[in-house]
Amino acid sequence: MSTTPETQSAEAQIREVFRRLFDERDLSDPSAFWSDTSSDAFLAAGLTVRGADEIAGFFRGLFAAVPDWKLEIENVVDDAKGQVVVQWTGTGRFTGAPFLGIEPTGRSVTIRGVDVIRLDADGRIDTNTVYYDGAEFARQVGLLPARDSLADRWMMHLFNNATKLRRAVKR
Amino acid sequence: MSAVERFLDRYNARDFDALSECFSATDFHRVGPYGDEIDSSAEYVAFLRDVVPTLGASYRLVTTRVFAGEGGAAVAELVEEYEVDGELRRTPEVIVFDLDADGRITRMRLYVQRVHDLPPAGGRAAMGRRDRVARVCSQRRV
Repeated sequence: MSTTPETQSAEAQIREVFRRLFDERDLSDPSAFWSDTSSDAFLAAGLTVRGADEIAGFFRGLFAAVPDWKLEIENVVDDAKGQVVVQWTGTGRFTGAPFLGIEPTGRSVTIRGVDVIRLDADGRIDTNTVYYDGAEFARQVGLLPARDSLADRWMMHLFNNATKLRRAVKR
Repeated sequence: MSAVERFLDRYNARDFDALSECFSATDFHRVGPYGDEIDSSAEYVAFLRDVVPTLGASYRLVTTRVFAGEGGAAVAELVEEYEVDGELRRTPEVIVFDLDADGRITRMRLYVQRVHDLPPAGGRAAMGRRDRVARVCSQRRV
């Protein structure tokens, strides 16, 4: 990558990666950010993406689905041993292409999350586990009813009845 | 044992008196997984004292890794385990901590990784007072 890992802190390296990725959307050279063995785990989406090209493809898909996607870094924790945690808030409107099998709903989403990153010796992202509330994302894009709406309360009511029924059958 | 490991140890032991000593008594702020906020460590411990015993004997936080950052920050990567109708559920989560000079927790920010839409351990009561007020105001606007 264009930075010099041996002279930059991991925090500075990762802030540069995020700036190029989310502010400039510069995916022209995925090998600047990831190696062929890198992995990004989006467990809330049931998805682990491996290798620089596939990870870049994931972000191209995200930007195509949410064209105004903006990711703001709230805080970075750097252990000075190659582990970096980035707390962020992402905002945008789901107006573009389908994403992860979901048709665009036109709704706005605001998601807070955290990336737990381990850098490799070259200052690239080796592993990243992305934590965000998948259920909240589903609510905001309209895949699930809004919290405390009538539909939400009915869903909870049906779920509780199903649980009680299963419990009764077990007895 | 680090401050965060001490917190996790006492949390899993359900030793709430000892747990309260992990927090700053005068400067505390917790942001929960829904953006719900608690501004007092006494209120947070009271909440845990009410809720944790209701979550069943199997409820615990399993540590994946804990590491310290520079400037008094620390991070715990965890899995929250609890049992529902004999089925073990596992919710990965991260807590980012700020510690004061005495190693007491002043800030906690929680991030869950729910795949399903079941309420978190602690149910919807896990949401803090400020969030409830916001929801009531929101409903009134509607």
